[in-house]
Amino acid sequence: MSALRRSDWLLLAITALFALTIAYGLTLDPIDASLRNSLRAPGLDFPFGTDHLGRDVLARIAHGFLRDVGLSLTIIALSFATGIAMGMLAAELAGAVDRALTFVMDLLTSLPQIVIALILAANLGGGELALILALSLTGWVQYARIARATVFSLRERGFVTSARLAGGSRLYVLRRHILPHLLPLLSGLVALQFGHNILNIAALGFLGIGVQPPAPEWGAMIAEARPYFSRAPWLAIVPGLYLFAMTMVALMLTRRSSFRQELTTADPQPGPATP
Amino acid sequence: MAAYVAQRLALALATVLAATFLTYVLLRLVPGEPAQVILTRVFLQDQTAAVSQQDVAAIAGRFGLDAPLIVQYGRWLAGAVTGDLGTSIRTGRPVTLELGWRLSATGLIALLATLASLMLTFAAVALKRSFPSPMATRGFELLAVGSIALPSFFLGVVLIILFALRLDWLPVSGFESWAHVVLPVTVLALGQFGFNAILLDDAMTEALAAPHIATARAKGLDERAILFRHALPNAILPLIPYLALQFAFLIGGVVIVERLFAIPGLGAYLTDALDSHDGPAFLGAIGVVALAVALANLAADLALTRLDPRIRLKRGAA
Repeated sequence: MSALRRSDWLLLAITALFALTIAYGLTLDPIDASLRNSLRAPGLDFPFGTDHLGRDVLARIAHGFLRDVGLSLTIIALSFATGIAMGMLAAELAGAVDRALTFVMDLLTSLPQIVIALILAANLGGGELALILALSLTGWVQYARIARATVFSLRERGFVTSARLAGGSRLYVLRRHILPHLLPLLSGLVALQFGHNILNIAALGFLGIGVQPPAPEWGAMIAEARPYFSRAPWLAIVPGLYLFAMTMVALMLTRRSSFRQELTTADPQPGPATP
Repeated sequence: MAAYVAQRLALALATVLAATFLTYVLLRLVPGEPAQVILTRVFLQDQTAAVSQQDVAAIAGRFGLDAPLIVQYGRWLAGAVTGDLGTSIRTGRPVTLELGWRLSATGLIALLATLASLMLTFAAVALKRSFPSPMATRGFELLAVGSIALPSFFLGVVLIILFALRLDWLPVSGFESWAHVVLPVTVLALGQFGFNAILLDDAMTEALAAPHIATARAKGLDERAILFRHALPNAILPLIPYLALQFAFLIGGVVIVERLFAIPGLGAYLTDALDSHDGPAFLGAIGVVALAVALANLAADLALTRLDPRIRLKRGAA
């Protein structure tokens, strides 16, 4: 363990500031509107000001954080489980099943995530269900690709062969001997997907097809601030800064981890699927 | 090689078919009789209006909504192949015609953004490599990751507030002059920049490790010539197919940027059609997006195999 670098301290300070303001904001009411207080500039009463309905921006940011993180983790859980299952299934059964699953994965990654979300929203009319479905539907593919490739390469290794020769069933071998190798590989992808999810959830909220108002969500807050850009710029800038800080920290942690090499070789689709 | 091309071509076609079919089905599975939805939402502008069965049947007949789903999709597809994507419910104009207008706006913005991001990428990598220092490395990394982490709609909002509202140098939104193009292109270009820069820089590291670089250095060539004449050409190679792959990413960005800056392009057409429940327009736009992305991916695959002699498609070749 080397000592923390100066940039690490900066990262830590930003995270601490972030956490403190969120914790304070969570004690406030994000929906309570009082028109008397509408469009107040940041000050002592309201550290980040109020929006056009007089709602506390800090409270909305804090509650929006909880919502975005909850959604992001739900999507990760769904993607992770589906990805591992599908990847192992493809590699274990091989042949036609593998070709079919690979084809489905190619299909899903060939369309922009936002467009897939738009298609689903055309039916479900937006909302959190459409958002979770759309991002999980595209999210599992990366896990599945890595799982599939790893299972293929592990299958011929001695310890797997001996486990099979010892009479272990296919499921037993997959679960006890292959899964433990997969988990550390895939966990690096989690931090990356977390950052991308946060960006995508906010982007869909901004387009009005994700989280629906009056529920607080960062992207939707920026979209709602549109008529007040010149009178109350903090309405758009503060949630944007939180969004940027959170994604930046998630991506920096990903790049710091040893997983980086893995990502640049295993992921054929460049960058975040949405900006 | 021929088999590989055929396989990628099949995938491209399947992508377009799957995307449009899925969209078609999902559009038709919207709660409520589709004909009734069209009648109340579009023609009467009142979702709660009482309508007679007769009127609903008339609408269903007019839009061909009384046939089985697969037949309707077949009809749409047959029309699409001949360039007829139906009529927009909202405007009454042919969708193909409207998409044509929209494509030129999106094409212009996407092209300019790609060029700008490439210039930024080369400048950043050249600077970092010409003045190697831990500071330059950290700065480069922060800039690149920052560009990926910065949401396009937030950057766009900040630029609007700063350059359009505070300084009043550029228009807020619209698509009437070159000044209108500056902010959206900047937003898209910065969004692409981060990934390109990381990719080119990694490729440079790899290219600089090649034996012929050591030879050039041993020969006494100056570092500039080594960087730009001997390493850069090899580093650019992997970037080319990724530019095509990045097209999907660009389209995602276009949807957001066009909405923010009110640019009459493909992305805005898509979101507008969604908001106004304009099925034919939405389906047509999805078809065009899917086709464009599929062709770009195909081009990327083919470019990768053609440009890089190290990639052999025949099995068994080392």
